[in-house]
Amino acid sequence: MPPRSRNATPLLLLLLLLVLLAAIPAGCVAQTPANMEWATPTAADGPGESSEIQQVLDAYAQSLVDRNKDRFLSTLDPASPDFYAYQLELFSRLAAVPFSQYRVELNSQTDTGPGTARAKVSIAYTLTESFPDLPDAERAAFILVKRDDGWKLSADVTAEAMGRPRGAGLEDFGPVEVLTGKHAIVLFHPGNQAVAASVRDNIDAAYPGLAAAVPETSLPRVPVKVFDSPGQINQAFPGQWQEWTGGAARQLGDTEGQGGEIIIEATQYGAAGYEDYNRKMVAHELAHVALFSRTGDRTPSFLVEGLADFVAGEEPAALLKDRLQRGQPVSPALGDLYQPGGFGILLSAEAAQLAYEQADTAVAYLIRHYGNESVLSLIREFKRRQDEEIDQRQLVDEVFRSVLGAGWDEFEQQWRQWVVENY
Amino acid sequence: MLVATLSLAGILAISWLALPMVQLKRADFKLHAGNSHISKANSLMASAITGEAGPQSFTSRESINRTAEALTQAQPLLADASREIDGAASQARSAADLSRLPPWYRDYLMKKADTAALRKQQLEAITAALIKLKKLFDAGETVFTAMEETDRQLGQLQAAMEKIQTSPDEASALFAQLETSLKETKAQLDEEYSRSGLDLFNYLSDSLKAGAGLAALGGQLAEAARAGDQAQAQQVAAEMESRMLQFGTSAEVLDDWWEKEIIPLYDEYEGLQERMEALDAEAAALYGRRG
Repeated sequence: MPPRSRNATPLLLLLLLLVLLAAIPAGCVAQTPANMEWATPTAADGPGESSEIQQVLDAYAQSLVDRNKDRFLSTLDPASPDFYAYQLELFSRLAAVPFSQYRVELNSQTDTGPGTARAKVSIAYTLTESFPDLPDAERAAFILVKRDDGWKLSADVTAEAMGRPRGAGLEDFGPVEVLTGKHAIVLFHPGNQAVAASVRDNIDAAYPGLAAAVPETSLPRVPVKVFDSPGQINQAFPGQWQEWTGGAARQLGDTEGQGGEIIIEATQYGAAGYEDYNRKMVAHELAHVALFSRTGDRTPSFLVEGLADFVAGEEPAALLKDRLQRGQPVSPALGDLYQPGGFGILLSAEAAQLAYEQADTAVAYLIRHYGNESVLSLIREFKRRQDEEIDQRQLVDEVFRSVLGAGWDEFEQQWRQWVVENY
Repeated sequence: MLVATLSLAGILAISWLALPMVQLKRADFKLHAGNSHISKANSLMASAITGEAGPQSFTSRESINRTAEALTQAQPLLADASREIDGAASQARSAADLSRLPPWYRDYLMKKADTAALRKQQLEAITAALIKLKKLFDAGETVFTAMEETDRQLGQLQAAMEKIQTSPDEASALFAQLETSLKETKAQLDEEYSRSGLDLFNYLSDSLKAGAGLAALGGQLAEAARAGDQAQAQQVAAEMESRMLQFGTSAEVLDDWWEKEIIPLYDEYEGLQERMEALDAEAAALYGRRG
């Protein structure tokens, strides 16, 4: 049928054309796309870029741990003979010290001329079998020069760059020897072996009493540094040494892993007649080390000092009692000593005696009237609330009230009465 | 006429039956285009975000200048990435609008569109951080010099405090000198803030103001120590203690600024990343049904 066959073919062709026209833009001939993640790809952590100067500092530090003299010397500039010789001497003096970590970290770097730079650094180290975490760093500054074989340490410019000189270390005064006990690692100079041994033995003897008074105490070997004289200690820790004590504890950081160390002044320690005092002083400082991680920025200093003295053994409080009985002023007052730094500015031996007698009797009163746990409960609560933005007076009142049921004024009044009646 | 009508009906019927396949292919084409936009965006963002701009870059003038240059180059790359992401989102949405797609595929495309929208937000966060960082690093040399000077003055303050009990007269003189120099440095920082608008200068200025206050109190403490006035010494020491927290090293001030100005934007970036990765996982599960 010519008309029908003539009409059907064009229509079929048209149909095919339409289908093809629809299919082609739809990618009929294209591949099916794979599923692809549309989230931002996470960049892989590549190796960190360490500056050339940091590499030199790393080599310097690691060679002290490894006792690698050649590597140590390779970080120093032979064209600075005084600095080179002194660093070599320091390396020798530290030969016996068992570093487990030593870190010298670059904080900033300033070009001071062609091929020279001033590097400000942070320095920290740990000892084997002692507190494992690096302490808060000490800051220093060095000049480095660029030689053919790399950067070299050339001079110590801490005083000029940091505004104050570096604190001296034991190694600045002579070779450092080491004695270890169960609970102590004692660093000292030759000639102070007897003092070092006595300190070690006193710490080991004090530890059980500390563990009983401060439950859950678990300390690694506590580092002790025995300096020869008050002069050396004043160079190591300027302005911080109270000469009548003979010993002090230093906090090395806020964490339990950073812990603390004990400083001993050998001249007083080794003097005749100080044996009993030394035993108590060492126990006192050991208690401080145990308490460091439990206390915060707002903990009243009298609680800590009083508890440390409680661990060491109670003492009479004759001067305090006399002043209270006579109604004479007591300075510093207990209200001054609830400041965290209250024991930091004792201007005379009398002020120090009054401060410690107040701390001792206040803690004794707390333990006797509120129980063994009361002091530790107060310390815990002060640490928990240390970031609150209220003044110290208000904080102390609130913490005492919440833990003891009595505010500060009531506590102070009761304590005064108790001292007069019982000492 | 009957033949034409029947033919037309046939064509329409065949077209209707073929429409899902046609739309599937059309959606595939758009998804393919969207994937291509995303690939380009990935490449652009990888070039722009190198991780170099951090407080660790503030260790030398060289690293500061290098970072400033990297930040300048990053801006146009992020703008291009943003356009690519817009393109990807548009392709995914228009594909999802096709009426005869299988439901799983529509859901899949909507998840892709949502992911692209989150990426756009992420880019906005990183761009906001980049603008702040560019301001910081463009003023980097001045900031670095200010930080070095602040550190030196902090050391001098500590040295003066160490002399209070042993040499109160010397301490007193040091504190007076420091109070003056800290105020002078603070004035310079205030001027820099007015000029550049970089609020880090404000942070440093506040820290130095606290430092000058501490120096003034230090003078009073030295005077109390010289006079042997325990009560006055305790009172001033307590006041100094409460103010000590406001005065930090320059590195602490920079960290503080970073914590307040940059970290929230990075946190937003990370939060969006988690949501995107979850959407990708859901989409992948849907895609598995394609068969």
